[in-house]
Amino acid sequence: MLSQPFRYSYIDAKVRTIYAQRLKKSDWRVLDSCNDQSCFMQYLSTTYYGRWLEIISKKKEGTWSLGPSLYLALFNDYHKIARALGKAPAQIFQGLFSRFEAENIKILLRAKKVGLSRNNVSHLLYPVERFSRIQWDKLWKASGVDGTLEILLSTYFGTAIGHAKPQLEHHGKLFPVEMAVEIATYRRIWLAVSTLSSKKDRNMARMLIGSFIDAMNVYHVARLRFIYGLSPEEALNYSYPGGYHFNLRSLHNLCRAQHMSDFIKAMPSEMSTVFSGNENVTDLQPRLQNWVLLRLKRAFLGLPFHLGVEIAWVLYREMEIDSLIRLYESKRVKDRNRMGRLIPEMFLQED
Amino acid sequence: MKPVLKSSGKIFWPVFLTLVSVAIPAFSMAAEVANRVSETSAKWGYIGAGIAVGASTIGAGIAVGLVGAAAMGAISERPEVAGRALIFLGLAEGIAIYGLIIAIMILGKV
Repeated sequence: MLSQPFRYSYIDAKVRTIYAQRLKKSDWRVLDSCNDQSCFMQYLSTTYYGRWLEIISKKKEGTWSLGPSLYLALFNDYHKIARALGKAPAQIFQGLFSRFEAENIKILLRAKKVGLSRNNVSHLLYPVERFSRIQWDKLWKASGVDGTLEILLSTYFGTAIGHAKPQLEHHGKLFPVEMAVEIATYRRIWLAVSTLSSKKDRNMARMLIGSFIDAMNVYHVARLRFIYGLSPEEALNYSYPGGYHFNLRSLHNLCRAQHMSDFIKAMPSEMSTVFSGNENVTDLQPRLQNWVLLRLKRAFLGLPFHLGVEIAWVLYREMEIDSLIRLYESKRVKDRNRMGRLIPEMFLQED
Repeated sequence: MKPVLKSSGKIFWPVFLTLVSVAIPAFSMAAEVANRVSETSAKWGYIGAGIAVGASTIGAGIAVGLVGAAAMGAISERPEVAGRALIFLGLAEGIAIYGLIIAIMILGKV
C-alpha cells in the first residue's frame, strides 16, 4: 500500500525538480532568434545547460562540440536516477544508457577496421566514460578488431558478440557484430522491464520505452525506404527490437510499403496524427518526437510514485538535446525560419 | 468456508486501528455522560489516550518519511526550495498534534 510512495518519493521529487528546469517556450524562441552559433551558445549558457557547457568552453568550437556537454547532462541524470533506485528499476536505466555505449562500440569497431585513432573519431563519440563500466582506454589500446572483440567478450555485450563473431570471421563484415550489440542492448532493456515487481511500473515502462522505439522505427524505415531506397528486408534489419504499437508483423507491413500512402495506411491508428496534413519525410523526426513527447508528458500529469516519471524524463531530455543540436547546426548554415521543421511542436507550446 | 479475513488482509489492520481509536474514546466519553465514571472507564480512557497519541505519531512518522524524502530530493537539485519544503514537513508533523490534542481532551474528562 505504501511501498510505491516510499520507493519513489525521493527520486520523483528529484526528477520533477530537474524537469521544472527544462527549456521553456520562451527559451526556444530566443534560441531560434539567434543569428549565429555564438549567440546560441551564449543564451544556452544562461539555462540549466550552462554548467555543462563550461566543461567544453575551452575546447575547439565546432558543430559537434555542443553535443558532448549536453549529453554529459543527460548521462548525469541517468547516473543520479539509477543510483537512487532499486536493482530492478536501475537496470532499465543502465539498459537505456547502454544504447549510447553500443553506439560508441560501433564507432570504435569501424575505426579499428580502417585504422583510425580515438582522436580521429572523438567528435562522433558520446561522452560515456565517466559513467560506463566498460574500460574504454583498454578497448582503444587493443590491437585491431579481434583484440577489441576479445575485451568486449567480458562485458554485458559479450554473449551477443560471441554469437556474431563467427559471421564476422566468415563474411569479414562488421554489420552482424553491430546488429548483435544493438539487439543485446534492447534485449537488456526489455528483460529489465519484465523483472519489475510492480504492474504499474511494468506497464508504464512498456508504454513509454515502446512508444519511443516505435517512433525511432517509423523514422528509420521511412528514411531507409523513401530516401535511401533500401529494400524492405534491409529496412527491417535496421529496425529496433521491441515497441508498443508495432509487433514484428506490423513492422514488416510498414517496411513493405511501396509508396508513402501505403506507408501511412500501415501505421497504427494511434500514430495517424503524425502524418495529418504533412506527408513529408525530411521533417518527420520532429513530428514523431512530438508524438512521443505527448505520451511522456502524461507520465508527469497522472498519479505520482511510479517509474514512468523517471523514464519519461530521460527520454524527454534526450529529445530536448536532439532538438538543440539540430537547431544549433541550422545556425551554422544560417538556415532561418526552419524552427517548425526542426523542433517538436510541444516544446513551443509549453510554458 | 472462505477465509474472509485472509482475502482482505490489506485493509484489516487500518480498519481495526481506526475502529479501536474511535471506539475506545467513545466508550470512555459515554461512560462519563452517564456520570458513572468508574475505575474501568478511567482505564479505557487512558488506553484511548495512548492509542490516539500512538496512532497519530505513527501516521506522522509515515508522512514525515515520505515528505522528508521528497524534500531531500528537491533540495538536492534546487537548494533554494528548502524553505518551502520545510512548510510541508511541518504539515506532516501536525498529524501527531491532532492525536495529542484528542489525548489531552480524553485525559481531561477522566
